[in-house]
Amino acid sequence: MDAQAEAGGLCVGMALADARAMSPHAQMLEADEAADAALLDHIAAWCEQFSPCVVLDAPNGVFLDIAGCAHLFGGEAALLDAALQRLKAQGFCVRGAIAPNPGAAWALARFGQSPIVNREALSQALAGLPIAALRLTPESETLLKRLGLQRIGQVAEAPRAPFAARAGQHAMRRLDCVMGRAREALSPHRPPPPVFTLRRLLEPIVTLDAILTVVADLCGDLCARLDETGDGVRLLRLHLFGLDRKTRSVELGLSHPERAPATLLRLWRERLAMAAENFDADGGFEAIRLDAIEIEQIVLRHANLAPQASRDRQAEARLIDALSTRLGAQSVGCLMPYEVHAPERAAAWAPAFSVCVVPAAPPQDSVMRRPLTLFARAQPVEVLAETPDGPPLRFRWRRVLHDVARAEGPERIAPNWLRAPRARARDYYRVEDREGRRFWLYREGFYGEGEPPRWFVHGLFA
Amino acid sequence: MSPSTLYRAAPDGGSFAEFHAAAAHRSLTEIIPAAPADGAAAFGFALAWLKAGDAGGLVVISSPQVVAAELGAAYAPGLMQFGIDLGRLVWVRTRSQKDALWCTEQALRTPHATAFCVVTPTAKPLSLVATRRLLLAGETHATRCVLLRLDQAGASAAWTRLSVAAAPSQGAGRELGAPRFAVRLTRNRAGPTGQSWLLEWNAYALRIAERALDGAVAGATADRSADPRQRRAV
Repeated sequence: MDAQAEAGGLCVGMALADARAMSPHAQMLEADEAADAALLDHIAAWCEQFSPCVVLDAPNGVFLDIAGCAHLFGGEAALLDAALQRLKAQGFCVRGAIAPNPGAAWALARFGQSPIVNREALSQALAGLPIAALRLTPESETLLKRLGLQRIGQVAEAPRAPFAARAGQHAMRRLDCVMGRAREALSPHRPPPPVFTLRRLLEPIVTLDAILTVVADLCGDLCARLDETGDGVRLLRLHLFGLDRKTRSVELGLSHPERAPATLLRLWRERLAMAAENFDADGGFEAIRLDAIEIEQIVLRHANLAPQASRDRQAEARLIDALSTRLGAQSVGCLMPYEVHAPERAAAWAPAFSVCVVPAAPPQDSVMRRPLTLFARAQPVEVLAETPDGPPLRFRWRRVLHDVARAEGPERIAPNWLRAPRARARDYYRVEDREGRRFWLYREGFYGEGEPPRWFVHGLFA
Repeated sequence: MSPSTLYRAAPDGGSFAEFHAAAAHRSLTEIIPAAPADGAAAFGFALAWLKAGDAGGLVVISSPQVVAAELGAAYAPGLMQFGIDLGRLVWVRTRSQKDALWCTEQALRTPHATAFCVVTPTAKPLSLVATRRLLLAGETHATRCVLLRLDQAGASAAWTRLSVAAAPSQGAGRELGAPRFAVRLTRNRAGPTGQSWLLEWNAYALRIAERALDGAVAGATADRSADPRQRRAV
C-alpha cells in the first residue's frame, strides 16, 4: 500500500471488496510473501552496519541490539536517525524506536509517539498504547477488548493470577517482556561476533588503499580490545557496506591466535588485494566492520635459549598464514597416513599443523614397501608375465618398454566388502626394471574368472 | 662421450662423503633427472638430500599441481618409509610455477626451515634472476633450498647441480634392495665438476652411502647416454 492509497482512505487489514468500493482506480497486487521475506533478509543484512546483532521479525520488522554500538554514531538518537533516513532514502516507509527491551521497542515503533524511551519513562510511555502493541494471539486480544481493556496501562498493574487465568500464560509473558519484567530471547540473523569494531565513513571510499587505511584502524582497535583479555583471534570477517545496499564479506583465517595489528594488516592487505576485483563497488563503501569470530587465549611460551636446535613455531605459524592467505587454505596442508589396507585411502590431505603424526621408524633394511608417489588414477599397462598369476617379465608404460630385472610379490589387497563389494582383488608387485627404475604394479582380478585380469602402474618408487 | 665415463669417478676421485660434507649446507642445490623417466628417482634423491642435511626445522615442499600427473602425488606411507618426518612437513600445491616459487621464497625467510620446490616446464623458463632471489633469501636467513628441475635447467645461481638417474638396487635373489641412485655432479661453483657416484639411501640411518661402482651397473645403464639431455649436461 502506498501513500496515495492511504490518502484515499484505504488501510491495512481492509477487505478487498471494501477497498474496491472506496477507490475503484486502485491497482491490486497479489502479495508475494517469498519476495517480501527475501527483501526483509536483505534489509537485515544491510542493518548489520549499525549493529552485528540483527534479528529478523517477520513479516515486516527488524530488531537491532544496539548495546555498545550507539557511541559509534554519536548517540542513540543519531543512530536511529541515520538508519531511518537511509531506509527512507531507499524508498521504504519505515518507523523505528529505541527502548530498553525488544517488546517495548516493537510496541513503540508501531504505535508510540516518542521514538526513544529510557527505562524510567517506559511504563508511562507504554500506558497509552493499545493492547495490540503487546503482540498477543488474536484470541487473547479479542478477549481483552471484550472485557473493555483497550490500553496497556489498564492491564499493566492488573493482578497477575486472574489476568493469566483469563488471557492466558502467553499474554502474561508478553506483558512482562514489554514492561521489562522478563527477558525476551532473540535469535539473531547471524550469530553476533564476540568482539567487533566498526567505522562509519563521512565520505564513501572506493580505492583499496583507502579501505586498507580504515582496516588498519579497525585492526588497531580490535587488537586493543583483545589485549584487555589476553586473547588472540583465529578467524576474522570484514564487512564492507556499499552505498548500493550490498554487503561484501571477506574472511581471514589464521593458524594460531594472533593479536598484533601489523601482522593482521599484512594478511588483510594480501587477502583484499586478491578479493578486490570481486568488490565491484560503484558508489563506494559507507561503513566497514571487522568481526573477530573465533577467539582463543594466547599461550605465551618461554623463549628457547638454544635456538640452533629448536624450531621457531611462531615464525612457522606466520608462514602458514601467509601461504594460506594467498593461495587458499586448501592448498596448504600436510600428508596424513592411515592404517588402512586400501592404498588409495592410506593417505589423506590434512590442514597444516592439524595432525600429530606418530613418527614410524623406517624399515631397518631401508627397502621401501610402499611407493613414494601414487597416481590418483592407476595407469593401465600392457604386461607380459611368465605364468598367468606370476610377476611380470616385461611391461609397456607410457609407450616405453621396461624389462623387469627384479620383482617382489604378490601382495594381495582384497577390496573392502562394504565400500566396494564389486571391486576385484588386486595383486601388487614391486618391480625394478633393468635401468633401476622401480614401480608399483598391480594385477586386478584373476585368470579364469571370466573377465581377463588387467595390469596397472599405481605408484613409483625412488 | 663414451658410455663408460658416465659412472667413472672423475680424475681427482673426490669421494661423495667429502663433497656432501661441503655441499649439504649450501643454500641452493638443484637436482635434475638424468632422463625424463628418472623423475621419481630425482624426487627421491632430492628428499634424501634434504633429509641427510636436516637441521630439524620445518620442511616446506611446494609443487605445481601438474606434477601429480607426471609423477603421481606424494604418498604418505611411502614418505614415512623413506625416513621423512611427516609432522614437520608442509605441502603446498600451487596452480602456477610462480606461486610455487613465491612459497619457496617465503619459506626461506622462516628460521630453520628447509624449502623444496618442484620446477616444471613453463612457457617462460625459470630465469637466473629467479634462482638468485632464492639464493639470496636462503643465504640471508641461513636456510636451505632444493630445486627439483623437471624443466630444461638452464642458467642458474645454484651452488651445485646434481643429475640423478635410477640405479639397479642390490637385494637378495630377485628381491629389491634399498633405493640406489647414479648421481653426477654437473655444476659446482665451489670446486671441480664431473664426478659420478653410485649412492644408496639408508632411510634407517638417514644417510647417503657411496657404493662401489662396478661394470655391471655401468653396462646396464649405458644406453642412456644417447639422451640429448644427458649430452647437454656433460
